[in-house]
Amino acid sequence: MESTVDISWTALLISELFLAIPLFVLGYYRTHLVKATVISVLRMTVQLFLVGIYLGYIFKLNNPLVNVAWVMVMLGVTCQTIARRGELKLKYFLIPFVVSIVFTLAVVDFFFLGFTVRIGYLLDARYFIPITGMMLGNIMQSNVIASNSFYHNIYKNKVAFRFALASGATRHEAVFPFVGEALKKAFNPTIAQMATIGLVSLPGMMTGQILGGNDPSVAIKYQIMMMVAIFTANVISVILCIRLSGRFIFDAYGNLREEVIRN
Amino acid sequence: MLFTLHNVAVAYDNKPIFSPVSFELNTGEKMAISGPSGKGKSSLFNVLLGFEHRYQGEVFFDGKPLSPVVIQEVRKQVAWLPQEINVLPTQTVREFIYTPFEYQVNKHKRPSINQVESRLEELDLKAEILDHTIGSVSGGEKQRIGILTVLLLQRSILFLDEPVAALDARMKKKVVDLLLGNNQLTVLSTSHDAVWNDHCDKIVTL
Repeated sequence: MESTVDISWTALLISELFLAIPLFVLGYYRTHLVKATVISVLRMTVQLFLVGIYLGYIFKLNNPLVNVAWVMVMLGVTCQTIARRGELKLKYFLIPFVVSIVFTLAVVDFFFLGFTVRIGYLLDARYFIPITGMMLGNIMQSNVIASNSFYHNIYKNKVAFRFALASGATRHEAVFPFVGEALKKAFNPTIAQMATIGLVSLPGMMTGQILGGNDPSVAIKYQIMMMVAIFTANVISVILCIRLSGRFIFDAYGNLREEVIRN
Repeated sequence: MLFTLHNVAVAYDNKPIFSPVSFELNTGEKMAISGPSGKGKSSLFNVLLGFEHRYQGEVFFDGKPLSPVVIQEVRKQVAWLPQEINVLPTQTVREFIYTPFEYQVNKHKRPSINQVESRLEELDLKAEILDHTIGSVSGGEKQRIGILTVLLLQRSILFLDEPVAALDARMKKKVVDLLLGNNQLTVLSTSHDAVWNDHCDKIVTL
């Protein structure tokens, strides 16, 4: 297979002019999203440019401590984003987020890298960083949806939750239906996506692999592996986070501490 | 004495929302707490069930001051009917009734379908209502479903928040006889209803 055709920076910048079409539509319908879109695209371009330089350096160095440190930075940003977008106060959730995500990555990431892909050196930057990064991105998305749903539903349905406790439910029994609702909300879209993957469009990882010169038969194996790894990691991290945060979020009487909810 | 309250008032930012009350609730007694709407009557239930800690005064259950351990005892002996039954929108009446019996502490008391249908009949509800969602039933039906559920829990103490507010005169009389006419039950209630209050042994006004 041929290696990927490079894109010149000039060609790339010119192609961003295509954004004029969506910007026009957003502006015409007075969505007030034009400025946010321009800022987001500029940020994306600058961030990815810097990440490209930085990752090139990390891949060349391939030092395990540097690789782990970079993943820790990604983890910190993930935790902060989950709290902010889930409308929760980070100080109550920091420990549960970190512990649940580190545990999930340690189990799922290293299982797939060590057993499925079978790379000899698990912290090899070329595999460890992009695969862990993909998992963290998806873990972040699932936890935002699940955490927001779980805690805000208990807060909004306070009487139903208290009715369960007053009827003799333990805290685990009282939160049970709210956990179910949070899991449904977080994972229904992923399950639907897995069912149709490849029929409508080729997924990102597979596309990247094919563009990079890999045979499609290899690319699909990585894609299947990643979908399974990501889904498993998402579910494990969401459940662990909910279970671990319990001791920080509920008081000795089983009540949700309302100060954990932002706004 | 089951519950003893000394100068208790719910207080937000250290400001009581009603004048402090003191009373004792003894086994078999039927007590009503009355007062204007919005005075905080329902919040007293939250204090006694461990949901509200912002209060002044002292509360005792069976001679012991409230604590996480004592509250667990309270919750095992009390059945609470809130003013509004607020459940997850997808829940059916059947699920609402049977959910408390999925908790470990209530499993041995799980009612048979015959027992449930018998209670439904007692409260003028048809068996078909079991398959309706809680959101689709009327206020009066919802209230009777709540009463039915607390009765099925077979607890000796009932906390009832406006138990007859949505009932017509005939059903109100039935519920008054069912709950206040039962010597085995201790009842603490909030109510604006004169018929209900007239049948209580004690009335405390906030």
